[in-house]
Amino acid sequence: MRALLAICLCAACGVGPFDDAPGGRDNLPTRAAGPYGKTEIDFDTPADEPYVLEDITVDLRDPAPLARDDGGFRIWFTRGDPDDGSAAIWYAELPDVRSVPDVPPQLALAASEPWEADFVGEPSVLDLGGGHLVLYYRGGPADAPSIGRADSMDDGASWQKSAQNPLLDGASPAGALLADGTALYFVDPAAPGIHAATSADGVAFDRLPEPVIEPRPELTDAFDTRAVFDPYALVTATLDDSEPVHVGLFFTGTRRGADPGTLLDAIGYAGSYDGITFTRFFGAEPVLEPGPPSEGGAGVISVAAGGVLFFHELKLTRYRIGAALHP
Amino acid sequence: MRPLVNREDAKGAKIFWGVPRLLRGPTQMVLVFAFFVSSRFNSPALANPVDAFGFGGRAPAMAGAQTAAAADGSANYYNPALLATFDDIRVDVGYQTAVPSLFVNGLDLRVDSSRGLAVALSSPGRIGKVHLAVSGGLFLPDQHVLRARAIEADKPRFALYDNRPQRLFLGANLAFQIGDRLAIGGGIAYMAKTVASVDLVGRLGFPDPNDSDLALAIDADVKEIRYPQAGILFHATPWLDLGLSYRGGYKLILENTVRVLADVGREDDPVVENGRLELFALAQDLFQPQQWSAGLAARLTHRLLVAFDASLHRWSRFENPATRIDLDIDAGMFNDLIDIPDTPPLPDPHYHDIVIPRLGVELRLVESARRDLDLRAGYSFEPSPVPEQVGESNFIDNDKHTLSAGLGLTLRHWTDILPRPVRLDAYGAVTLLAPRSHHKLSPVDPVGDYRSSGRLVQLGLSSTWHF
Repeated sequence: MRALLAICLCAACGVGPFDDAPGGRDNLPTRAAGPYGKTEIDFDTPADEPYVLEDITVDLRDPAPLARDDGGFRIWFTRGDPDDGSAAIWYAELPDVRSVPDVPPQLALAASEPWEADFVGEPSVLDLGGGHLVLYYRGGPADAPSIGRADSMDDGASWQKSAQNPLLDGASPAGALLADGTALYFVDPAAPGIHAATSADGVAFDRLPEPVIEPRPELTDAFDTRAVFDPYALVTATLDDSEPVHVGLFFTGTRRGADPGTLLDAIGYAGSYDGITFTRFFGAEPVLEPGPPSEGGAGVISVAAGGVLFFHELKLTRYRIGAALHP
Repeated sequence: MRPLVNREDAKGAKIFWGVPRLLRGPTQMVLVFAFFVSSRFNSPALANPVDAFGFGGRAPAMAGAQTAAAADGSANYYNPALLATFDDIRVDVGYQTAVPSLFVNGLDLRVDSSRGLAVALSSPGRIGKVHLAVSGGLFLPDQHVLRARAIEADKPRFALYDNRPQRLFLGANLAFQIGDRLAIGGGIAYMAKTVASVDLVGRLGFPDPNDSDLALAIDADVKEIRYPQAGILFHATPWLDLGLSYRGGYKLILENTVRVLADVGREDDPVVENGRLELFALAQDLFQPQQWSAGLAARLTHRLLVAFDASLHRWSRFENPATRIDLDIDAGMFNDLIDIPDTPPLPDPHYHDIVIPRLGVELRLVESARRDLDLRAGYSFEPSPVPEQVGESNFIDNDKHTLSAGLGLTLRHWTDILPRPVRLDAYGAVTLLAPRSHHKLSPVDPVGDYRSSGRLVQLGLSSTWHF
């Protein structure tokens, strides 16, 4: 009884049993569309923020990430030799975006076919479950690229190229698992814009006649007045059976730089419920804080209440892969 | 004199019923009461933790089914008419807490808990032949006496738990007994709102801002707000009471003004003379719906009391709480270069009215000359007034099921100092938020689809002291 009285008296004096800061702002839902901000330099971490993968002897570009169960990241990327233009797809793993790789970069897929012309790169990785990964990639020179496919049944330890390669003419493939098949977004050096092709089996693709994303020269302030390329599709499940998936398409846009004759790349976003008809997001602005330096080659992971965007940018004559966070 | 079924302890008490001769009929009393209320309180009511979690130690244990069953200071909130049934001075002191765990996509948003001191003082008496009671109730949070914050329109928030429980409740009531069967009561509840302005007058340095010469004046008022509450209690049969209560609706508006009146430029050669910038921000910080409650309290047996309430909450009048900003600039010869677009209208949130059923039972387990022990339980269902969030707004809310239980121990002749009864109440309740999905129509909605769910755990202790 006295204890009860004591509690009442304490309460009467405004002495609450707990104290905390105003809340209700944690873990807010997001579609991971952005905006993104590059990780800031932190001298207490081993990473060279915002970069997570860098090698001063080669170009590292086009990150294609998958989430690791422990919160880390698996990243496939293009490792290009700037001297002879050859490239291969390499692989590394990161525990987080402020650490050095805990699985060091290693070769994942090299050129071996005549049509690949000593260049395989610009990877896009789809996880079909059960250790089955599908890799779409570009093979061949920049002026005559084609798209190939490789499968791994051991969770990426080894890859087998498809006998039907090349599947499609184009470059920078971005695969997306839709409700009724696979979509592939890509660029065609002969036709501006980001194009799409669909397939029921992920091998035989039908190309759509018109691009799904085009440059916006009429919007003078837009980040993509001159070109769009480097698509990456982030596919998430919705809560509506009539529109079961949402496709967030990240892509690189080019506009004129501040200095005459220069161009500036930045990463933008568009969304779609059918994977074919896209709506722009953020108006004229990109979703990653605009450069210089130019950023491109987005690869995005949706994480709890946020997103992680990997990108490449040119620094000191070499492309490096960095990370940006949302929110 | 037939005791009203909700009067908990009339043993040995002298009851004073009746009204002055001039006000003998119920019609006249209603008119007096209506005048009392309407002459002062045209503004409606406001949200507070009591709305969300109840008041006192007994009422939350019975899921808030108290419109005809309140038996302590909680009548200040549930139905002031019940205060007229008290036959002695009562002081209620307690502590209540509600701890939310509210999830979106399985992640806890860490919404603040609500906790604080609940006190009430009820004093019955008589003026002539009129039996009446005056009373006051207070819930005083121990974190925020008042928290005001305006959030962007599209920022997700649990609409009914974000800000609503973070402020005090203070009410004062007056109640009359009319004859043997009727009691009416009413009063006002108080709240405060803030109106603030910041004025900068002088010269704004340009191009060097360090050359500025500005006088700063800040004017912030904490203004009183009153809103009405009223109730009627009808003693229908020896075992049945019927109650009706009303609480007004209210909007709390945050008003903030920033005003700059200054020359711009160097002191000897200003670029703009008598420049002016006025930013006026209005935001609906809080809203309480108008509430009508009808209830009954049936003493089915000597030991068993069953109470039922149905409450209509007029949420359809809820307006979009996002901040509206008006910006006015006079920059002299530069006015042609300034184009401030009109603020687009905020979308209607499309809340709808809801009816909340509440059921409570009280079973006397032990009854003796020195002590009684009551077991209480309750259930309520509060449907969400908020539609599925398919557009830009993200007012998250779910249907709510509340299960509650509690104990009440009444001690008589406890000490010589306290010869009158002392009652100790404790309760616990769990509110479960039924999972709910929100699918966005726009493929570029930045928030996207989400699923909300959650629970709230409520605990409280209270004591009622009779004098």
